Amino acid sequence: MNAQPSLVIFAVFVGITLVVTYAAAGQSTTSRGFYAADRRIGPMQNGWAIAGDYLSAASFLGITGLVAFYGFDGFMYSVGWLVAYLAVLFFIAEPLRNTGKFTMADTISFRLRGRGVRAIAAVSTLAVTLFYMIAQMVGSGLIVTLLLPQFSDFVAIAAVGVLMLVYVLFGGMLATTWVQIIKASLLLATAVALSLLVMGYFHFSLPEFLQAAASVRVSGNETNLLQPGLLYHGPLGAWNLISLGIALVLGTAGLPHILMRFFTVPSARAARVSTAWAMVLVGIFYLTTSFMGLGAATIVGQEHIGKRLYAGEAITYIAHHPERKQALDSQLTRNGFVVPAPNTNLAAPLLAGRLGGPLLAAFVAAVAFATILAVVAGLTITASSAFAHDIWFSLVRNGKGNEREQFFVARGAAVAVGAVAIVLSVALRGYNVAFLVGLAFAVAASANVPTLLLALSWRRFSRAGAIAGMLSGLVSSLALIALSPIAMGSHAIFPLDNPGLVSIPIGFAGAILGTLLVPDPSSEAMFDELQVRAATGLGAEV
Amino acid sequence: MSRAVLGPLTLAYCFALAQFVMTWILLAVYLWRGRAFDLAAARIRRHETREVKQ
Repeated sequence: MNAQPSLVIFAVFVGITLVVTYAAAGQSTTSRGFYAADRRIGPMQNGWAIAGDYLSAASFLGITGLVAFYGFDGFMYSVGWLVAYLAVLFFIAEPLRNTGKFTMADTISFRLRGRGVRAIAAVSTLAVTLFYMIAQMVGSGLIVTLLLPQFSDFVAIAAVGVLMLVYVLFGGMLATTWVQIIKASLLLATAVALSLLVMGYFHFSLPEFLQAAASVRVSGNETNLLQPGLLYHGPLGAWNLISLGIALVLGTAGLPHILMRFFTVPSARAARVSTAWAMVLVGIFYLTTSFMGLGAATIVGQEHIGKRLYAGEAITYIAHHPERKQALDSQLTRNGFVVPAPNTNLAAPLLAGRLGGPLLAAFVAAVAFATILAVVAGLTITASSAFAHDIWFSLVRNGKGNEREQFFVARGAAVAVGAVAIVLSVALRGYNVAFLVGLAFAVAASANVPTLLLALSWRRFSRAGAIAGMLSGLVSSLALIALSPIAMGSHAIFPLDNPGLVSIPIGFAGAILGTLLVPDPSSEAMFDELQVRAATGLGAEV
Repeated sequence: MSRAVLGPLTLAYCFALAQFVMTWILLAVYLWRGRAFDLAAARIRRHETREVKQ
């Protein structure tokens, strides 16, 4: 693909966002301004920004590709990631806004006051954010090497890293918010336009479109794209799907960069309304993944999507994926190459190229890159808040220190986190992106969600319970992923790709067990205060 | 679940799309119920802040 149009379109995006950053630069000189945009973001703006923070390259390129190849089973990611917002809406958004200041750890340690609780909440925040950030940055490298082979993935990772730091350092949360809003509008417009082009190809006839999708046959498979079972099959297929579903649905409520957005609005009501906006926007986007994905399968054709592996490379690939050996072997003997799943990432740009020519393909590639850039900017400011606000300000300095110091530490933390993320992304660029995103969601769902939910709703929940819950969720999810087929291939000790089904209950069990073993009357006594503040906003941070 | 029920659309796909509808309906119900809740919270806040002032 010719790089020039992509670069020009991306440069326009960067130019606009830099102007926004420049405009926002003078406005945030306090830590409240830097982390929470002075809580002056409107509900609709925040809704768009949540959508911008949430819809990553995994959503756009990833799900489109999964739907193109696995039809219904791929679409389940869309369903899970939308339904997830019900948990955020019902249990998290409003109480979080009322009981926290800048971070998830604020809400957890509102009544569970202790250095240990805050430290582990901050570590868990940093772990989720870093895994997520690395996944996005590795993804940006992958996209660049696939779409614009004249650039190396290192260049892409470095460019993303430097730009995200510019937004965060100079514009703080206000600029980051506007980067999200601009990116969300671009992404949503692109997805809707591509879907309309797909429908136009089928003369705007839904039956014609569905008929075409139903007649796509994956090689050697009776199942069509509208039927379940293409991705999750075999004896453990259903369990894999359930485990993934639980991790997706609960994980969202534990993603620190989404939670942090609720601190940027003035009230609990604004937090609720912004969640509603996000749910409408994200829902529309996820509906379009069906049109884009099934469109790519029918119009482009699965055999034309993705980078091809020949001979030796193909044989090595098959050796690492024994569960799909039969299908891959027959593909190799018939075509002389295999198309490994990770390159399903190309479904959306190839569909755009087929329907709108090279210019639209370039536009889609630029939008994908902008998507990643916006998400990592949101992640950087989140990680910086966990380090500067939770670890430095609350733990090292015991809540002392003036605004100047906070200002300095917050930005320093952003640079440090950004640098670590760039180095780790370059080191881990060979890893599967889905694996890294899976890590982030599994850790979020297993370590953060049980403790966050219990801290807000269980009177007897104790400090020991919070520490045990977060530690057991963190350790069990990381350990089970290390033992899963994604990390160990055919020698896997743990049979499921996603640990959620086991590690989330372990997180809850750890929290409950810790509470029962070491009760904590002083935290119990503050439960009423927490509930009143969560429900009414009395005494909430302004 | 693999049975086609609406033209070629399978039961599973209808089920998945129904979850979009379900999510949006639950959202609407929650927003509608939330208005009464906001009024109650505002009343409590007014009441409490007046008592503190006295």
